Amino acid sequence: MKARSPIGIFEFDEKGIVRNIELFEKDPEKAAEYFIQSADDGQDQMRENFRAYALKHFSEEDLNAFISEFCIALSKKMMSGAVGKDKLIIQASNALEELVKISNTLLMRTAEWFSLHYPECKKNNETLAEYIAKYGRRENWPEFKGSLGVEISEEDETVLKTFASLAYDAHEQKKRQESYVKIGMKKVAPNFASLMEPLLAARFLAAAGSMEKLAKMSSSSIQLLGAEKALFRHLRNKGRSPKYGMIYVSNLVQSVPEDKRGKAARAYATKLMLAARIDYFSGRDESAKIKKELEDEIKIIKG
Amino acid sequence: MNAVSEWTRRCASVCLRCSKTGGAWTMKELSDGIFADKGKLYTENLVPGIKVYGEALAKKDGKELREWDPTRSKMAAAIMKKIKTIPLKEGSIIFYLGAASGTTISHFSDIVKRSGLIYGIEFAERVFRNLIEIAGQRKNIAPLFADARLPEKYFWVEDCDIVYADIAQPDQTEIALRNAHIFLKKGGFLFVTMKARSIDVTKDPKQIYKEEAAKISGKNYKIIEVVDLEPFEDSHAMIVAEKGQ
Ligand SMILES: C[S@@+](CC[C@H](N)C(=O)[O-])C[C@H]1O[C@@H](n2cnc3c(N)ncnc32)[C@H](O)[C@@H]1O
Repeated sequence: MKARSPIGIFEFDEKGIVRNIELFEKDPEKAAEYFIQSADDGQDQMRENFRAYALKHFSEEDLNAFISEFCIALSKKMMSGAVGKDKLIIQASNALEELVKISNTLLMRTAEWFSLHYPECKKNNETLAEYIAKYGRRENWPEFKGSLGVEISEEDETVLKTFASLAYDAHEQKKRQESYVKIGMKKVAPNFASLMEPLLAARFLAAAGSMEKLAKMSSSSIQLLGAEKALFRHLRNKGRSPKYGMIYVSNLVQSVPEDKRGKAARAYATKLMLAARIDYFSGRDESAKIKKELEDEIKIIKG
Repeated sequence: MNAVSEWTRRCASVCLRCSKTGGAWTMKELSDGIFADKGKLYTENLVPGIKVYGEALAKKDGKELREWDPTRSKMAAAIMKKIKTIPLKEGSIIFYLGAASGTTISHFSDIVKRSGLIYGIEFAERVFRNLIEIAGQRKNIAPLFADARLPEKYFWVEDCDIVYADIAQPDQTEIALRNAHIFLKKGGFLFVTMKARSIDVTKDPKQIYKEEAAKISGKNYKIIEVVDLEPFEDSHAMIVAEKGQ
């Protein structure tokens, strides 16, 4: 029977007597790595025997320093790496909004430009950009059979091809960045991000400014997040006071009959506040429970 | 503060080792590695020059001492309130639940020195980062990112001389017992801090301390003392128990 320890694997016989210790390398990082991969039969005897045996291989101070570093290495592997990540996610999310606009514009422009040369081509904008970047002029395309479009010179082709690959890269980067923001958001705020589409959750975070600020917001402030523009308009006496921010565009509130949306938005904001606080202050993933509670509340509101 | 003047009186009479007089050293060593002077508590800084939480540093006889603030650390408050059981000493192995950013642990680390070790369990990532930093400087703190409710996750930790629980949870006594059952040596000491309000706001704190102590004493533990931490901590107490053989 085996039991893991920071310095190696202890082997016990049926009477619980130590038979052998298979020592790890004296490198705490590597030891933590081996430790995680090793099997363990959960031997109580390990605890009693550990120090006496370990001191055959280490001085007391070295052993303590080793265990300390081992525990740090082990703990780092168990942490999600969420601290400080909120600011990175906010930048990526803001950049993503720009990227969505830019990549659409670039793709549309590419299609319009290339249609002068090959108007018969019927591909969607993304595939079109990909093909132009790959093949260039229509004559190089596998499916090309003939066209009524204008002829282009080598110079025309180079410029168009480069632009198309820029458009295609922007589009690819948009997709990569979307998945980066989604995954990152679930790490930084697993509870909050479980209550809505993670990309929208990232926009909430960006509007709040940081995880700390989001966690310290009241539910009524959360309800108004993203409504800042309307709020300023109202403060300058030029519009109605805004009732809702981004919450209102969420699928959840939109799924509720119009006369009950205010109530739904309030219930939603309260749960979001709770979720943000758990994320920031404890970091525990209680998303299944919170999600269920919210769904039940919305069901009641719908009647 | 009343407790402070009481404290000064106590130092004059009950100190365990009133040594090192005759020089500039008027400080009394209350217990192994814990010093008292003019109503203040100190431990000898294991890493001279480095503060942990903004505490004051003092120099005595070539030693650097860190002030141990009883309003920031419940163990310091308990010592101010004349706790009798102070088993902490050089070389002690301690199991600490709710390590937070390491305020109290840093003083334990001063006391047990490099021949001792403190396993610190904490599950909040933000404060845990801080703890890692302090552990890196001191080399006698083993921080474990884990939930104290799930001892299976750190089942391999060795037997300890002391289990100290300060996790401010309503079921803290149960959690502390579950851990002490596994990790505390026979004859070792269990310290549990009590925050009456986090257990039941409606009950009298004294009643709560009694009930929580009763939960412990039923289970192969002998209650040694219950120390009220007023005025340093509002409605808090420290329960000390000894594990049977
Ligand atoms: C009152 S603070 C501890 C202060 C610390 N003992 C000191 O004096 O420096 C309580 C700590 O326990 C942690 N905690 C609460 N429940 C826990 C659990 N189940 N497992 C691990 N840590 C927990 C909290 O994250 C918090 O940092």
